[in-house]
Amino acid sequence: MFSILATEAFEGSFTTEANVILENVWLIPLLPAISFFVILFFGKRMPKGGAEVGIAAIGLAFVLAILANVAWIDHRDNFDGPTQSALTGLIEDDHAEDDHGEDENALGTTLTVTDTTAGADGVDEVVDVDLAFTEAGEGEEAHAAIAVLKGTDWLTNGGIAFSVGTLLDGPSVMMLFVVTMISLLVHIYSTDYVAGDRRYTHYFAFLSLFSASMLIFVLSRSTLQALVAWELVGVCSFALIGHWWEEKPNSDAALKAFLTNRVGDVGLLIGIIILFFASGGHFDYITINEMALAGEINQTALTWAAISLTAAVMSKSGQFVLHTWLPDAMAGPTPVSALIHAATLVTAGVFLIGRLYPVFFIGYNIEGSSINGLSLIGAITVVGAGLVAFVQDDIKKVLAYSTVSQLGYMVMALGVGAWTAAMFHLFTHAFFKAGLFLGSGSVAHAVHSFNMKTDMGGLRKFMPTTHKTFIICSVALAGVFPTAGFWSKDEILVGTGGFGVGSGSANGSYDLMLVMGLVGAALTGAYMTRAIYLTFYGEFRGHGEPHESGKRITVPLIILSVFAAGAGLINLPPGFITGSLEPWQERFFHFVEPAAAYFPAISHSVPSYWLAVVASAVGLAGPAVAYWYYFIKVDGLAKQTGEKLTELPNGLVANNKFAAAGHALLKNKYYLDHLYNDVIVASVKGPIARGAIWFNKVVLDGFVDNAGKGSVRTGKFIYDSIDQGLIEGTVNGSGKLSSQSGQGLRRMQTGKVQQYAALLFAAATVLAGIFIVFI
Amino acid sequence: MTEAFLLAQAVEFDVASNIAFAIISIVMLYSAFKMVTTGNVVHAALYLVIVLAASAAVFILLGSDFVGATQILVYIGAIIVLFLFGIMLTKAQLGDDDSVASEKRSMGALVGTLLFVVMAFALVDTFGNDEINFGDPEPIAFTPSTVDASDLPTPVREALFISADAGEVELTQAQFDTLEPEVQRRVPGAEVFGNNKQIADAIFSQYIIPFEAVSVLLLAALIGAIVVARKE
Amino acid sequence: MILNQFLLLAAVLFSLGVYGVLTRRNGVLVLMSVELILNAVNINLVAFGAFQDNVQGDVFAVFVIAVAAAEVGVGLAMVLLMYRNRKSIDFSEVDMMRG
Repeated sequence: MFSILATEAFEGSFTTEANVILENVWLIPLLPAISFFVILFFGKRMPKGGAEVGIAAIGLAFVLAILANVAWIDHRDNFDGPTQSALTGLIEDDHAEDDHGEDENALGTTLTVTDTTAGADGVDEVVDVDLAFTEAGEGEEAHAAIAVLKGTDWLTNGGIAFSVGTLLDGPSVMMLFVVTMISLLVHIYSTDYVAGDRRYTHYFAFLSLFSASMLIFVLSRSTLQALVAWELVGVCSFALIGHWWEEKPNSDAALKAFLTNRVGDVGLLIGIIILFFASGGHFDYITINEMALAGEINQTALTWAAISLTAAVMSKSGQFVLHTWLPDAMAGPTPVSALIHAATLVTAGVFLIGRLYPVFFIGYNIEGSSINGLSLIGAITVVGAGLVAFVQDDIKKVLAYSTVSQLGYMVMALGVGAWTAAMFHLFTHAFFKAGLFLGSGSVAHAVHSFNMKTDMGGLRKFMPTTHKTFIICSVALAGVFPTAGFWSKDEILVGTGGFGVGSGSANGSYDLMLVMGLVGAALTGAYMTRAIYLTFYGEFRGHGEPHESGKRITVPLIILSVFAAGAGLINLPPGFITGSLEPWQERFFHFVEPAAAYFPAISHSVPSYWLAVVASAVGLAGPAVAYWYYFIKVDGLAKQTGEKLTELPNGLVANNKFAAAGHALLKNKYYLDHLYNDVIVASVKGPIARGAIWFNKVVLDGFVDNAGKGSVRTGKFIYDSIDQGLIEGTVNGSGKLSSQSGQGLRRMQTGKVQQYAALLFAAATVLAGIFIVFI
Repeated sequence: MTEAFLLAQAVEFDVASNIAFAIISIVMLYSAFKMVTTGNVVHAALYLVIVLAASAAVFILLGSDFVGATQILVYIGAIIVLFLFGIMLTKAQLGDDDSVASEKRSMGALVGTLLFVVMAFALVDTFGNDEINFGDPEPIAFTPSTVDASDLPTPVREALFISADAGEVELTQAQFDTLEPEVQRRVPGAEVFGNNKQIADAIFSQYIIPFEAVSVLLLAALIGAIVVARKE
Repeated sequence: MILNQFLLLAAVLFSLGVYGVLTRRNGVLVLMSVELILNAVNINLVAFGAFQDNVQGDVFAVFVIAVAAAEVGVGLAMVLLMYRNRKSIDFSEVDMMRG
């Protein structure tokens, strides 16, 4: 199953005829889209302020998404209709006789386990799970996962068709489930959380619009359609972050998110344009992917496209240097953070890479390499964000940096070629991070603050359900066996292939990524332990009497924590426990990873027991240190002195200069905001201002100075009519010139609209004249 | 008809329409000038009516009767009324609005002249003396029919030598073809269209999407105007 | 008739419209001057349509008339709003567009 697919070349990519549900998945985004308009126009007059429409629509969409998943599971293995390829057209089906149902293992392979001792001694006993074809399996072909492509030409211009429609395959059907489910839970949660809000209806309208846009994004069949949806989710994110825009920090955060994402959007646009021209005029994912794999798009174009798209991913999925908006985005309501800034929107970038994987796979030379841009960005993000999460006092900021860090894992996994691992981590992360965010919201609902140090502590007594679900989700996040996070994180680590993990079955040998991944795992556990201690243990430091939240808040928490604990079971590594590939193992891989002509032949790492053990040990070491510090030292001291402590009074930071410097660095988030505002913005602003002054001083003044009296009079007439202020500065002798020239251009800003219009018309006329005369 | 006759007719037509054009354009430019300079707000609106009517005349001169008619209906009928409402609702002084600063006036004159010079240069440079060729009129379509002689217009009866009390007469294509075009238009059953038919075809087939877009734009403008202007 | 006599007529009309937009103080008069500009454009469109012997010029002129109607509606609404807020529609008093 692993390296077998790598050598398998599929001919077909997609079909247009399939199960009726798979053909009509467009209904799923349509429902919340309709609900958006209904809530917008009629919401205020409804008894529940429009929330009921939103919940009904997303609930129905969730049911349809489940049906689509069921239909896909059937379609994945049993489809034998006509298939097509974007390059070669309709494919003659010469193996329609394939006996699909006969073998439970549809790939016709079995697993043999060979015990090999890599080392001479028993220190590193390696159990390599190796796969080989059996005699019987050799003749059969693996069943391709044929995507279902529907759509229509939106418009045709100059012979290029812009198609819209749905592309349904493994990743999109998985995302349908995740988005609709989390969205439904968040809708229900929100009815309590934002109850009584002054823009309650508006809030639910935008939740609906966001769900619709995100669903359109995951179902997009072309880059252009994806771009539209991508911008739509950006707008919804902007509107929801700034939900309480009356407070300045909130509207600032919304603007920051919007503007930072704009940087990436330019990258996305450039990437799409490069791919469009390099592929000879195509926007369709499948066409671009097939052409990239067939070598019809040249390597340089793919590399540049991949780099441009990486910029988009860096902003949307909060990768390092462009991640700064994501922690600030926590200014929005907490359910929004759970839905948008943890589970769905921020994974759009990861999903985009997954969609255009051939572009990245070939563009970044992922195969057989040991480092590349994508994996490096991911790896830096994993550790960098994990460290910052330590010094945050705001519980949501801790979770935000944790999200950045986990997104780093996904990007890193894609960078090292572990596609399924990335998608699986996306899948599991959605549950436990949404659970954590909603849990933090539940806490904040009780104590009316997000600050762990001043307003929380000891909440386990008051909020038992929130406490338990928070712990379960944290354990899953930290990747403790056997919760969801363990399986997905382990798969990423194996996929790096560093230090010979997986015996060369990975795509390359990314040593650095493995180390960073392990460090990240330790950090994750540690900062979550800190957050849990500060929130739920010790003495309560806030005011009033906190109480457990209502059913509409706790039930989504319980559901999410169940998924956080158990979601990993759908992708158990092959050979786990039984030693051979069982039908209940690797289901996620089987149903989600495309096995068709539009997906590259990536290698799949063989799971490694010793890595699992090492990762677990490292992953537990972090929490252990944090536990020792907070639960034993700090708690002990607090009990001794009777004070409400959140850290040791004379710990490392207080005593050690280097530790203090590091702490300051982290506290200031690597000074990135200072870099953007004080260095980049200031340095761009400065030269423009200086350039304006120079222009004023040298060009304008010089012109008037050197001309005779007659031309001064002409100049006076012109400048008089444009601006009186300018002429004063220019005629009154050279002595005053240098001091006043800076003011010149500024005074043109009189604020009078008609003067602006005159300048506009005059400038346009002059430009037109230049064109006419010279061209 | 001889070549010389056709040429003479064309020249005659040209002279007549050029005289018409001269009168129309002088009236139009004078009114436009008064419109942008007059101090009286209501007078300005009335001058605008003259400008718009004159440009409707220009459209008809160019053979676009439909646009001319639309111009009169929409502009003079509706938009001017809106303007008058605007003038009244804002209680602008109905008297003089003179105190326009001289520096502003010279600024406007400078920009306007500059604009005209550049455009005129470009136009003369590009189109020179290009003639507008109105082309041969298409033959008028006719369906042979039986009509009561008393219903026929006098010129038609005279040309075809039919008396008014001849009762039911049958008109044939051959008879129709002998008539002058001006007379042909008056025969019952002759299909007389300007380019209206073609415009209708173009709007509702080739330009259907812009057409729909314009209708949505009008709706948006309607809603926008209500939202902006209503009292909170 | 030559094409240029129409085009130059339109150019003069356009320039007069621009002059009006730049100098009039009364908001309603500014909007009226904008109508002059639009009308000049319409004359151009129809003249080119006749020059090319097709109906596209006419079609677009009709569209421009419709858009002009929309523009006047919204423009007058804005002038009314300005009047309500400032008790004046004098454009030379509006100088809030300063950075």
